[in-house]
Amino acid sequence: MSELMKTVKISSSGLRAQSERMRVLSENIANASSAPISPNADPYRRKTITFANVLDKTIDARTVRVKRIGSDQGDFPRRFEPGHPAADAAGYVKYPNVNSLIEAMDLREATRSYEANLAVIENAKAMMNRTIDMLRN
Amino acid sequence: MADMRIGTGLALSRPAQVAGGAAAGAAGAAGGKGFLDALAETAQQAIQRSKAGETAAMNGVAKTADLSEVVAAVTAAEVTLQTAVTLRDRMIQAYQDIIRMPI
Repeated sequence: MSELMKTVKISSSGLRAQSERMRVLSENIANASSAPISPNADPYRRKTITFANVLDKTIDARTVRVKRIGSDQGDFPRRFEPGHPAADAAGYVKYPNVNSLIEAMDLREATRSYEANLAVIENAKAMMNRTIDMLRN
Repeated sequence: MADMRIGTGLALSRPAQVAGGAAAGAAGAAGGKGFLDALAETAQQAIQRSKAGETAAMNGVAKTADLSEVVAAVTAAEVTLQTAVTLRDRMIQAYQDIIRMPI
């Protein structure tokens, strides 16, 4: 396999990793206000994603893979809502530890990384096509 | 000599090349055979990758494969096929140039 084809394969692993990141982010954003239904239950816990480089032996290059989808162990913010079914004795409700601003920034970063990988694929493809064009008149 | 090699190259058959004559083999043993091998290899790769690309595309349509994998496989198939087609065109062009040569 040519180096440029390897490039396409490596970048496609990047696309895959970033799309999985988007999936996790969308879960976080969608559940940003998923409060518990009873005082003892926990609200939605923010998910985190970590990447790792993996040696792809078929192309002898390091591709990216999702290492682990973990959960954010940070504290849940508490809001005073005595009328809420999940309010504790003092009238506080635990809300998910999702910060929409952080998720929005993360989303933007995931989009940019995805675009960067797309650009690499586009460029590699263009270079291959131009090289093939050398054979034509 | 040249037309024999072109013919065998297009047919991708080794025995034909051997039958192509001792003269062709002796004259172009190093260069000619290497190029033929490369051409045959490219054609084989083109066939294999086209199949892989087709399979990936079908899986993509069936939504069992990841879109990025489909992109990689289809790109590989496309580029390999283009290489094979361009090489073939080049060979045929050389062949036709020889045919049209005024004697």
